[in-house]
Amino acid sequence: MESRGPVGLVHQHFELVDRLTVWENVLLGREPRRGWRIDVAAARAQVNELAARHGLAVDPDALVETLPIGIKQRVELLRELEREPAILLLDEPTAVLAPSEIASFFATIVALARRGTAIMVVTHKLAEVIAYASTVSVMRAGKIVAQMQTAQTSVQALAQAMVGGELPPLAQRAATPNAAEPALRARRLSARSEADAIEEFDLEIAPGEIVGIAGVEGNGQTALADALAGTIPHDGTLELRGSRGTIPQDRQREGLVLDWTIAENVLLGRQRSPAFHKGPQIDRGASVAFAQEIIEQFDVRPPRPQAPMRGLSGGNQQKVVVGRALAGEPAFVLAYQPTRGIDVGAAALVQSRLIEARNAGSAILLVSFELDELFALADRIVVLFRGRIAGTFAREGFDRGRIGALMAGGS
Amino acid sequence: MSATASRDAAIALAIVVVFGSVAMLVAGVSPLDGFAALLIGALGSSQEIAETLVATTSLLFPALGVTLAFRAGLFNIGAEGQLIAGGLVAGLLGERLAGPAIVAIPLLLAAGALGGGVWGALAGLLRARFAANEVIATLMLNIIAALLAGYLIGGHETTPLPPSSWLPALIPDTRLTIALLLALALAFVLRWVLRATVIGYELRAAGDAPETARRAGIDLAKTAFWTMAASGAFAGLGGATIVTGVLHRFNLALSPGYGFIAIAVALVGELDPLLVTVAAFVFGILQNGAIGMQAAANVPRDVVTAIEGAIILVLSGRRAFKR
Amino acid sequence: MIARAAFCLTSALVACCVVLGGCGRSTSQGKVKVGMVTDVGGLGDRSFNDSAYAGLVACKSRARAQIQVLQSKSAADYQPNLTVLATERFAEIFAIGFLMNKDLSEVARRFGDRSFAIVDAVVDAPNVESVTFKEEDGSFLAGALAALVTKTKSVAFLGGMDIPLLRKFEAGFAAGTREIDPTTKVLVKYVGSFDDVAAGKELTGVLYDQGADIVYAAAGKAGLGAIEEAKQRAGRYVIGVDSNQDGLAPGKVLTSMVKRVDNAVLRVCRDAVAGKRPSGHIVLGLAQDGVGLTDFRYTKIAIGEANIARIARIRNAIVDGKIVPPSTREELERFKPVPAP
Repeated sequence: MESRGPVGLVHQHFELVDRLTVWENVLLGREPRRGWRIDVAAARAQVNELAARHGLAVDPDALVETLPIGIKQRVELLRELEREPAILLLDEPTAVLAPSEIASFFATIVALARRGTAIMVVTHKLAEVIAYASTVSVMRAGKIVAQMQTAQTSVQALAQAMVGGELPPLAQRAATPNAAEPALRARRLSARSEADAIEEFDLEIAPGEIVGIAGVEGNGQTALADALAGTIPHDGTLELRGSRGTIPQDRQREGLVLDWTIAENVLLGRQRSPAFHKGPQIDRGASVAFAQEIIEQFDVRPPRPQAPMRGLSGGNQQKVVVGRALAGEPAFVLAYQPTRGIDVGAAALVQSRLIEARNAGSAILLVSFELDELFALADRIVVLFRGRIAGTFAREGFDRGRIGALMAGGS
Repeated sequence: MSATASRDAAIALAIVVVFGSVAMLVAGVSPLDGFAALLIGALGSSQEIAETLVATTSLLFPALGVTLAFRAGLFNIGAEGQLIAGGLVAGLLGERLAGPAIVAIPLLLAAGALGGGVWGALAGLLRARFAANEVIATLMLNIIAALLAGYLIGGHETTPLPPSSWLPALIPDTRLTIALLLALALAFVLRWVLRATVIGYELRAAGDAPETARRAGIDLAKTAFWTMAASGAFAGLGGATIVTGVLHRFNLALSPGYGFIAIAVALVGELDPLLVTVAAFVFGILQNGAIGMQAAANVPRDVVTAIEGAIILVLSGRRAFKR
Repeated sequence: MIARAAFCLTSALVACCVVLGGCGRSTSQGKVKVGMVTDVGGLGDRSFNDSAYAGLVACKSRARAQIQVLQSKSAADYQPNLTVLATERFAEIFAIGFLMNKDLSEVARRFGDRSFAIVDAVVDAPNVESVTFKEEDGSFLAGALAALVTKTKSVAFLGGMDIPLLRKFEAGFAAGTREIDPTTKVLVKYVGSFDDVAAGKELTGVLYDQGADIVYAAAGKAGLGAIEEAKQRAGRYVIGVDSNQDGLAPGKVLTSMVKRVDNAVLRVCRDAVAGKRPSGHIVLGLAQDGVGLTDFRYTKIAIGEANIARIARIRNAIVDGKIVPPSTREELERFKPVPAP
C-alpha cells in the first residue's frame, strides 16, 4: 500500500483519551509550545479555528469523558483533520449523528474531497452512499463482491449485493390495540446522567405502541433512557406495569460480558428468576435452552450457546442483546439505538422483531438518531430538545421537515 | 482469559528458573545444586513433604480468598492483614478457652474466619460506602492489623493453646493437620460457588463487566462488601489454622507474608480454585524448599523471597495494565 | 502452548537438578558441624542475632567448626529450621532467642540424640543447654552510673515490652540507682514493641520532658529511636543495650549494657566441638563476662574518673556476691542498698 502524505483514520469506537480535554486530544503530540511549556492559548485558538473552518463546533476545554458520543466523533475527526491527511478513512461516521448533523458532516467531507483529500467511508447507510459517494465497493465475508459508480446504482441494488439476495421485508404492523391503561407513565420526570439531563418530562406509552424519541444526541436521550432503566435516580413519578426489557446504548459495556458465553449472557437480569435456578444453583440446562431459543429466533452466528461473546460480530452481539430484552413479552421495552453499527441484514431483523413485540402488546420506547428508522417503526414520535419535549407527532402526521426543525431548536 | 492466564503460569515459571539461577550465581552457588537442594528440601522425605504441605495449606486459604475477590474485580491485597486478624482472634480466644476438641476446634476456626471476615469487610465497607479504592484500604488495614495485634498481645505471642484445641495431625509427628483437608474442600466449594451458583454468577459479572452487571440488577456495592468479607474470612481461617495447627499459639510473626504470596498463587492459578490449589503446592515447595536449600547448598532464603517478589510484581503489573 | 513448552523445559531441568545435585552433594570431611537458627529478627539486626553469629564465626576460626546459619521468616519456620539441622546431623544446634522455646522443646524431644542450645530461655530437656544472662547485674551497673551522672536527680527506664525478661533489666537498673542515691527518681515506660523506632523516639522525648536526663533504653530496635531523640537534646543521654551501641551517637550514648551472646555461643560451641554433652542450664553474669558495661570510649570525660572507679568497685562487689541485684519487681521492693563499697 502506498500513500502520498499521512493517512487519517476515524474509528467507530473512538480512540480518545477520556481524561483529557478536547484541545489536548486534538493536538496530542503536536501541541504548540512556548519554550518548554504548552502554549494553551494558542492551542485553544488553533482548535477553534480548525472547528470553524470545517463547521464542527466543539468546546476546546470540555473534558472528553463528559461529552456525548456525537461530539466525541467531532473531536476524533478534528484530530485527524488537523494533520491534513492525504487519505481519510471513516468507519461508520454517521452512526451517531442527527439528520441535520449528517448533512453538514457530509458537506464538510465533500469540501475536503474537493480540496484534494481522498475519502473512504465504511458505512451501512446505503442512502448516504448514493447521495454522497462517487464510487462504492460492496464487501461480504472479507471479499469485495461488487464495485460500481454510485450514479449507476440504487439503494436496493446495493442491499441485494450486500446480503447476496433479497432483503426480508419488515414485519407487518398490526392495528394498534386500544388499551385502557398505559404500560408506562412518567410524570414530571427529571434526571441527570453524565452526558445530559431531562427536565419535567411527561410521557405515557400504551401497550402495543412504539414511541420514538427524535433529537440530536446530547439533548437528554441518555438521561431519559437511564432513568427509565432505573440506573440513575430521578425526580417525579415513574409507573411501570409489568416487566421491563432493555437494549442499552453501549452493548459491549452496558449489555454484555464479553468474556462469557452466549448462554451465560442471556441470563443477565434473569439470574434470580425462579425459571433459571434450582436452589442456590444456576439451572444450566434452562439457560442453554433459553440461549438456543434466542439463537434460532434471531439467527445468531455461530449458533452455539457455548460460543464466547467476544468472538461474535457486532450485529450478532446485538441480536443476543435484543433477543434477551424481548424474551418473555415484557410490558415495556427500552430500545436505545437498537441498530447502531450493525449490518443491514441484522438491522432489518432487529427492526422486525421490535414490531412483532409491539404487535404482541409490548410498549416500546425507541431512541434513534436515524429518522428513517423512527419513521419505519414508531407509532408516535417525541422530539427532544435540551431535556424537554419540543413536539409530538402521531404516525399520520410525521413530517420530516418539522421534526428536523424542532430537533435543531426551531419552532 | 484462559490464554493470558496460562501465559501467567509460564511467566511465573520462567521467573523461577531464570531469576532463581541468576540469584544463585550471584550468591556463588551452582543453580543445579541450588535447585536440587530446593527440591530435596521440599520433597526429599515424608517429613519434608509434610512440611511442604503445611506451607501449601497456609498459602491456600489466603489464595482462595484473593481468588474470590479478584473474580469480583476487587484487588484485595489485604489477605496478610486478614490472616493476622483471624489468627489473632483465634489465638486470643484459644488461650482463654478450655473445652473438648469437638467444641473448641470448630469454635476457634469459626472465630478466625469471623476475625478475618470483619477485617475484609472493613475494606469492603469503605469501598461500598465511600467508593474508597480497595487497594489502598486493604494495604492500610494490613498495617493496622499488625499493630493492633502487637497492642492486644502485649508481647510477641499469646500463651500456648491447650492440646485439646490443637488441630488433629494427619501424619503423626508432623505439623500437617486436617487443615489441609479443610482447605482442599473449600477449594472445591469455592469452585462450585463461582461456576454454578447465582451468587457466583453475580460476583463474576460484577468483576468482568461492572456496568453490565449493574444494569442486570446486581447491587455492586453490596457485592463488593460481602465479597471482601468472604475473602477476608478465607484468609482469617488460614490464620486460625496456623494458630491451632502449626504454632499452637498466636505469634506476631506467624506469617512470612503468606497473604502477599497468595496474590501470586492466585494469579498463577488463573483464578480457578483447583489450579490455585496446584499453584499453592508449587509455592509450598518454594517456601519449604528454601529451608533445605539454605541448609544444604548455602543459598540464602532471600533468593526465594526475591523470586516470589518478582512473580508478584510482574503478574500484578500485567493485571493492572490490562485494566 | 507457551505454558506447556515452559513446563516441559522446567521439568527436564528439574530432573537434571535432582540427579546431578543428588550426586554432587558433599560435606567437608572431618569438621564438626555447628548450626544456628535465628529468630525473625534475622542477621543484620545489629543486636542479638548478629552477636550470636559473631560467636559462631569465632568458633569457626578458633575451634575449626563448620558453621551454618538458617534464618527464620516467620514463627512457623522455627521448627522446620531446627528439624533440618537435626536431620543433617549437626553436632550442636543453637536456637537464638526465647521465642523458639516451645519449638525447640518439640524438636529436642524428637531428636533425642542431638545436642541443642537455646539462648535467653530455659528448656528442660537432657539434650538442651539453656543459656540465660543475669541482665540485672549489668543493669545494676547501668543504674548506678546513671545515678552518678544525672544532674536532674531523675533517670528513666524504657523497656520494649512488659515481660519478665525485661523486668530483670528494670529491677536491676532501679536498684543500681538506689545503691548510689535513694532519692533519685526512676521513671519507667514500656514501648509495647521491640521494633517501633518512632514510638521509642517519642516516648524518650516524653521522659526527657518529665525531667529525666538519662534514659536506659532496653527496647531492641525501638531503642534506636531513643538514641535519635538524645542526639537532638543538649545535656541528655541514653544507655544502650545488648550490643555496643556507643558509636551510634558518640558522646550521647553514655554506655551500653552488653549481653555477650557471642561469648556464650562461642563457649557452648567449643564444648560441642570438644565432644561435651549439654550440661543443663548456664547462667552468665558479670563474673562470667556474660554481661557488662562498655569501656566508655566516648564519654570518659562526661562521666569522670572517680565515677568510673566507683562503678568498677560496685562491679567487684557484685562478682564477690556482696551485692545481689534484684531480678523482679518483688525482689526490688525488698532490696536494701549495701553501704558504699
